[in-house]
Formats: sequence, structure tokens, C-alpha cells
Amino acid sequence: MKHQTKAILGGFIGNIVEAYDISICYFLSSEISRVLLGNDKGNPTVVLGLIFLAYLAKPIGAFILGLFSDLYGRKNVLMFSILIMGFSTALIGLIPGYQQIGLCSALLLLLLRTVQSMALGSEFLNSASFLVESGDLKQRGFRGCWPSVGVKGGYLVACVVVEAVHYANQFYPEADWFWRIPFILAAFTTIIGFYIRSGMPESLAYIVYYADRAKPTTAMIYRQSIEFVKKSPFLFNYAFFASFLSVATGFFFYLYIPLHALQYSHLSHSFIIASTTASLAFVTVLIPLFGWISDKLDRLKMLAFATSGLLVMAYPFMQAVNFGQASYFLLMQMAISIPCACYYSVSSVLLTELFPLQIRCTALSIVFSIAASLAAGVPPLLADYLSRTTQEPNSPALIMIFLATAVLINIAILTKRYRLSKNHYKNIDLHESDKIFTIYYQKTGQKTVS
Amino acid sequence: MENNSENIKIHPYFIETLFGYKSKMFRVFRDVLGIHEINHISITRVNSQGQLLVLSSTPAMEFNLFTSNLWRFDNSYNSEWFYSCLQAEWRSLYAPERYDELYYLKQIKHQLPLGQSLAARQANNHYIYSIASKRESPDAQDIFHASRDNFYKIGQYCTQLLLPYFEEQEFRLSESYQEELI
Repeated sequence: MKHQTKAILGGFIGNIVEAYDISICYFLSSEISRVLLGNDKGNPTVVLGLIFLAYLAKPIGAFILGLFSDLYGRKNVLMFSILIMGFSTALIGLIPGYQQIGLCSALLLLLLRTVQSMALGSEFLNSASFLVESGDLKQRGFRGCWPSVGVKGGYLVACVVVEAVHYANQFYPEADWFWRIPFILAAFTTIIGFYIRSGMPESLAYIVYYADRAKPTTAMIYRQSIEFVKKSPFLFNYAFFASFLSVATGFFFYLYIPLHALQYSHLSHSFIIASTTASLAFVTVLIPLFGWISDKLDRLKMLAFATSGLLVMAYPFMQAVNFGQASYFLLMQMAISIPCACYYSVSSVLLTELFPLQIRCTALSIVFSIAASLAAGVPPLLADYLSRTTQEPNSPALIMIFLATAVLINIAILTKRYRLSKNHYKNIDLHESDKIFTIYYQKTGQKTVS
Repeated sequence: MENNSENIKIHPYFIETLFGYKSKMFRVFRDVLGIHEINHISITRVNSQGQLLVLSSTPAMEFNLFTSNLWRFDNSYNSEWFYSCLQAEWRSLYAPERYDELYYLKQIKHQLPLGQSLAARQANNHYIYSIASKRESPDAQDIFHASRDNFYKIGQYCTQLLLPYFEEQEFRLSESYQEELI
């Protein structure tokens, strides 16, 4: 298998596992509630509360694993994180029921979800950094978009597996253990993912950077991170809003909207689910296409185009969701997937290009995981609140309009202060460690010291 | 014609070094195998006394090369060549009279049709980075031609991590000399 294919597959599979692991927890919350919490009605509120509580551990995991990634290399952490992520998910499927061990089952669920959240804290940006750094500059946009494809692919796989479980349950209603199968399946995907990741090399940029330098220490990364914050605080601001919008659109358009439509639209449940699944498949296919295009065009301009698209389309989209006929609903779900896919394909690549390699995973993982934790919970809750209090079902569009405006302002500032030319940005010089292993060689008549 | 010179010889702990750090070498080489279609990498260190030590991701190849004395006909290990700190394709470095045997051993038997040797100097030591691929496609050839600087970096990265093992053997040797003197 070619080096680039192997690296892409390694980055992609981890994000499939990550998104799959999270999604099945949400999709199967009623079943979990019934079996592990002894709630006969299967009310998912407590389980969703536990899931959210565990989600708060994500930034802690992001900080630890992001730091390890800068200390010991991207590959080693990616191998470790996929194992922890997958096996903690598989173990959720093996927790004895409330009838056997009482409240301990809820505690075990919380514990395993916390471990899972910590392990996936740095997955997305570690793998994006790994892919962007693994090869030449010409294809970094295409390589770097695959973690986003993996995330959307993971949602899709989870949808299909959970639907299959629900379908099987119709024929065997007495089998209350079917919900465990998707969790246990995570172990198999994890083993495959680990196998692929163990066979892929370290990121080329990381190797080139540390060829003649000693590996950094924790203190050094702290110092460099603080130095970076002092020199360019705006980049953290940009990273926060760009990450927030990226995650918020995913949760808003593909997880919240079906629930919102069920409440406000006159369309059938099955149509709404089918239309959302189709748009999810469409966005998954579009991301690598935009990733490929982004190597030929200016990624910052593409991000501005995508953000403007979200800004302009947010209100008509909500109008279609609430009051549109089936064809208009489907059309708008497909149409919103275009700016979404464009945004997902370039935003993570841009982030990795802006942050220096030495502190890339530490700094970005923290900002991204905080933004992601908030973006996963706040916009859907706020959207629900706005719809109920204003009695205006289109009002959730305001959230997307606000976020898109904030990102566009950030893009304008970024362009003014940091953009040098197409896909080239001002480097922030950090204090670098001394070179400890210098070699001399000659190349085509010229002497080189490296 | 047999290359080299009497001043280049195999280190007394050559075999122990080649096979002695299997798991540690695996961990280091695992990081770089696959980059730019690399399927084989070996690092040869020539110390100031002209003694050769090799750490390799395919130690069987170096074992066959050095135990059969074929290495004497491979100019990668010719001091005149590696002192110049240049780079060359493997096949351009084989002495004509043993060309076929070297080509068979390195490129057919171990299925590495594309190979390069890159020489470098660091303080009093010289390093020969031997990097090869199982692919021979025009794409792979282009990558191998365009990536020489990266190959040096890859070799340097591995050397830095493997330096303690080279140093350990040098230390053992100096201790054994001292014991002989006593």
C-alpha cells in the first residue's frame, strides 16, 4: 500500500471509530437507560446527562494526549488513543445490568464514558496534524480533510448499525441485549484501526524537525506554548471560533435538525430520517472532493466562501425544514451540505498550517476540545430554547448566522495579519531547542550542513 | 576490482550489533518505513578507526553481504566514496566483476529494486544511509530522486535515536582493549 494511502487510512479509521463510539451512545440512550439504570420507560435524560458529564473530560484528555503527541510523536499517540477509545466503548456493551449490580452499572457507564471521552479528546486534530505533515505540501489539503470524512462516516455507520439493531428488535422484542452488539462491534473496528495505525510511519514533518534536535521536554512545550500565546493571541481566538462552527454545524444540521423537524415539520418521521441520512452521505462524499480542490485554490478563500454560504443559507434552510414540502426539505438539506463539506475540508488543514509543529497538537487539541465540547451541547440547547420561547421555529437560524459572522470577522483579520500568499502564512518564530546532531554532506556540487 | 582499502574493516562486534537490538531497532525503524515508499533502511557507522557497524531493518541482507565478503565490491563501503559524502544509486556503486552477485543479493533476493546509498560525516564518524524500496514504478523513482534531503533527515533521525547502541559497542571495544593491555 502506498505511503499516502496508508497514512490517510490510518487517520480516517480513527475518526470513524471516534464518531461511531460517540454516536451509538446517543442513539442507544433509551436502551442503556432501561438496562443499566433500571428506568422501565427508557427515559434517556439521565443517560444523556451522564454522557454530557463524561464529555467534560474531553479537554483533559486533549491536553494530556496532545502534549504526548508533541513529546513522543503523532503516531504513537494515535495508536494508543484508538485502543483506549475502542475498548472502553466495547466494555460499555459488557456492563452488567441494573438488576444484577444496581447503581454500579451507572457508575461503570460514567467511568468508561469518561475514559472514552479523554481518549478521543485529541483524536481529530492529532490525526489532522499527522495527515497534513505526512508528505509533500502539494496534497496537504486532500490528506488533511480525511479526519472530517471519518467523522461523518462514523455517524453514518452508527446510524446504519443502530437502525439494524432496532429493526432486529421488532422481530425479537424479548431480546433486550441487542443494544450491546454495536458497542461490542467497536472492538473489531478498533483492532483493524490499531493494525492499520501500527503499520503507518511517523509524520514526515515531525521526523524532519527532530532529525537533528533532541525530543522536547514538557517544560519546553509549556514555555513555547506560552510564548506563542503572547505573540499571537488572535490565532487562539480564530482557532476557537473556527472549531466551534465546524462542530456546531455537524451537531446542528445532522443531529439537532431531524429532532427539530419531527416537532415542527409536517413531514413524516421516516422521510426526515432518510433525507438526513442522504445529506450525511452527500457531505461525506463532498469533503474529499473539496479537499482535492483546496490544493489548487486558496484555502482561506474557500473557508470564507463556505462560511458565507452558511450565513446566507441558514434562514432559508430553517424555512424549508419547518414549512417546506418534501422536495424543498431534501433540496435544502443537500444544498446546506455543500458549504458544510467545503468548511470541513479546509478548516482543520488551515488550523494545522497556522500553528507551529512543536506545539501544534498541545495547543490545538486544547482549543479544539473546549470549542467542540461547547459546540456539541450549547447550539442544540439554545436552538430548542429559542424555538420554544419565541414561538418562531426559524429562530435557530440566528445561532448559525451569529457563528458564521464571527468566523467571517476572524477570517478577515487573519487575512490582513497573517496571510502572505495563497496557502502561505506568516510563521511565528518560537525559541527552538539546540541542534545536537548535525551532519555534513554534499549535494550536486554544494556542501550541506544539516 | 576489489574496493577499499585495508583501512576499512568490520567492527569486532558487528554481528552482535546487527542482530542484538532487534526490538529497539524495530521501534525506531517502524517510524520511518513507509515514508516515500521506503521498505528498507540501514545505517552504517564508520568510526575513526575505519571500523564498520551496521543497524538495519533487514539485517539478513547485511549479514549475507558482509559474511560473503561481497561488501568489498560494493563501493558504498569504499572510503573514497563515503568520505566524499555523496549520494548514489545502489547499482552504480557495484564493482563490475561482482555486479551480478551484488545485484542478486540486494535487489532480487531481498526484492528491493530501487536503492540508494547516502553518505554523511558527523564529527570523526562517517555514516552511510542505505535506503531502498520494493517498488520500481516511475512514481517511486521520481520520489527517490526528489527526496534525497528528506532521506538524509530520516537517516539522521534514526541515527540520533540509535546512537546509544553504536556508542555501547564502541565502549565495549575500548574496554576489551584496555583489558588486553592490562
